[in-house]
Amino acid sequence: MKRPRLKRSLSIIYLLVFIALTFLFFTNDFGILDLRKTSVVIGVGLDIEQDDVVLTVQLAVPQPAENGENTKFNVVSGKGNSVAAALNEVNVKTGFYPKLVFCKLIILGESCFSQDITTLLDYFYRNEYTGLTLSVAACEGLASELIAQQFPCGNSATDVIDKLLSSEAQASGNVAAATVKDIGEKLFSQSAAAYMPYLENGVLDENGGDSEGGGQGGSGGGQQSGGGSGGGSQQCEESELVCNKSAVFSNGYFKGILPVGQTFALNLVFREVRHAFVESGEGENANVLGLRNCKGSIDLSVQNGAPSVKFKFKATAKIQDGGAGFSPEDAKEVAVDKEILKRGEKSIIKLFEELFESERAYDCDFLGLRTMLYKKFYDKYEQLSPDLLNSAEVTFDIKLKSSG
Amino acid sequence: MSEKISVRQICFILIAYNAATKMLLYPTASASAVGNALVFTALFNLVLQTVIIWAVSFLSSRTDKSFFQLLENSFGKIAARVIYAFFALYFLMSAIMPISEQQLFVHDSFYDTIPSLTVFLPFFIFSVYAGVKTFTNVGRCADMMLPVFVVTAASFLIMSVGQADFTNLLPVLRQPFGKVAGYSLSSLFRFSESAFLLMFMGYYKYKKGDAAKLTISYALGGLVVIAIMASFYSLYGALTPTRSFALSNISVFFPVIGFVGRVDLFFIYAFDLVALFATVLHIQMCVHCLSFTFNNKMRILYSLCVNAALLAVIIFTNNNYTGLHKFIGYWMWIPALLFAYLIPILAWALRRKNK
Repeated sequence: MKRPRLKRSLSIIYLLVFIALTFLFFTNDFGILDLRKTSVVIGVGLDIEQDDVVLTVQLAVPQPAENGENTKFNVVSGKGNSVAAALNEVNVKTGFYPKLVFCKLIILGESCFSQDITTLLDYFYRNEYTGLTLSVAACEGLASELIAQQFPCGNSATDVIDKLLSSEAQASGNVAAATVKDIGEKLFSQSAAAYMPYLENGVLDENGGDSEGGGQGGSGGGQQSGGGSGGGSQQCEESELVCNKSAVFSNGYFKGILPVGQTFALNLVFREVRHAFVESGEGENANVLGLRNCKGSIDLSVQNGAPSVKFKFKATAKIQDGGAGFSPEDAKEVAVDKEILKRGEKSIIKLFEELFESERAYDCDFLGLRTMLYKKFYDKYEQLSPDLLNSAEVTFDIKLKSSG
Repeated sequence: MSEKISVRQICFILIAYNAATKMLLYPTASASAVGNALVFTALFNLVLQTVIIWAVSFLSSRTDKSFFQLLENSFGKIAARVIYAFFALYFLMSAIMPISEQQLFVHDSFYDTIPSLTVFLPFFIFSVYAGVKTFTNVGRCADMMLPVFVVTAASFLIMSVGQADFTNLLPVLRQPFGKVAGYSLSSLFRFSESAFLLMFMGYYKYKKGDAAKLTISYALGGLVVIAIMASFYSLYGALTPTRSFALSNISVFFPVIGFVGRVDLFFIYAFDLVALFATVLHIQMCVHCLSFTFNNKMRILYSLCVNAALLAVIIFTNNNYTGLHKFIGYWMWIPALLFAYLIPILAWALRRKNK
């Protein structure tokens, strides 16, 4: 008897549910973004100015594509007592709140070295948008200037630095790239020390005239450093960036710069280096060895209560460039002479020795020995940890094999 | 009994639903509480609950009766109804945490710019509908969800293991024993699937070896959770407690994502579908118990009431989820201990033969 009534009310319920779902569905933005009304942050530069954080963001602004130019890069700065406050000022100047979803780089200017960098990076650790995958680098001078700079081929600073820190660059062992996660993980470990690439900027050329994009522009304190091909006759300062040195930090504070050789040695130990070059011998005996199948590690052991650090490295080597000039007869010889290999091994040992000396000199455990001690020899951690860097005996196990 | 479920489907529930509800906030909560010992607390809880699962499934080999019939046989109809009313209350309480985690996950991962309550409310439309459904439908859904679970869980592991540094799990068990044991005790409520199995009793036909199948299935689901937790902690080390959800963070360092974007989101959506069905299972169980308590098959009414109660909790605790989770973390282990550990063991003492 009651069934028809139930059926009728069910139809009404279904209709109401359908209307509710339709309402919810059409309140969606369907993932459509009006590109002409939006812009995305691709890089961030941080500086400290009179205890205030100056945050400079590089914005990629999509453009109509009729003239072949499809992206312009604007630079906007914000200032505040924290990164979040500075970002809020960027919001005031641009009209949108930068979520940093597409941000791939954070540059710390030299002025940040006087501060605990964990207080600067705090925002990024709390921010779920970034996923901690952003690359971090330190630079000489102001990060705001570096990020606003024009580079050859109209590339944005972020793009250029991104290439310098690419996996390809890392595979050659020349750059010790680090992400926000790497920095945090290391700084909050027992070693409390981390390293990141150190960018040095050398101006290549100052040319007026027909360089691409660039120049002053934008509003509200913004600069435009546009890309693409339609730049016009604006000033363009072309620069050359290098980042084959590393900045090291202990307990969040800057400790020093590792030179090129030590950065390379650091990479031989911690990274998967696929094609590296190392010098073997001097003068007439000088050769450049190309290294393949590199495998490096650092090992900590405790024998009779004394800590011992062992640098291990093995690779196959091939002469890439001979110091005595080229002759077809020599080039026929595929196998590398044992003496040359030994000299190559000595060069690598020297790099490792210098690296460990820096660790001691800066009293900065960027090699992560205390963390290693904590993980492997927990019972001896309290006893050995304070004087670990000075008391550890250092040994080397370096083996180069001829690739022939 | 008209509603039937097969052992295969229960096995799928014990693998997929068991893992799905533990992969949202549990890894982060564990990392915050016990650091790198998170794997061991989970392992301890898993072993304990696996033993209970075995005990309940082995009990099924001794009787064809449902748990309600066993209670009725031992204590009479009224007492059985009262006990089922308490079970309904337990399932209602146990649903709060998974729903709250779902809400947070949806807000944080899918609707990060508009994390308002209204975007989560459609969940309750689904859960009212699902609450009405019987064990036959529960089993069919498990059949559909297992392949989704296998593919997504495997993807998460593949995308994270290569980037993880498993030495972050060292040194092994160096946290104070009291801290580790205390956290294990307070997370008993997360390992409470034996209560589901108790409800399934009598609705499936036990064959030789089924107890082993059910027990292994549960252990397998738990091991997937432990593998994900190990991988998650190894990936983030000391930063693990800063990442709210293991699922949305575990695959971000997979090299392919750097080139083609967040393809892992596809797997996250799919996995959340499994978690959705796992969450409503609590509501389905609650409705099942209420229909026995009141000896009335008005499941739609019970489903509406249960969901209304849960909705009230979610509205009341909106933006105060920390307080809610803290409260559940402090107290929920007590009912879990009673309903998912002690009663399943005591069920062996119930009269299995008719009076």
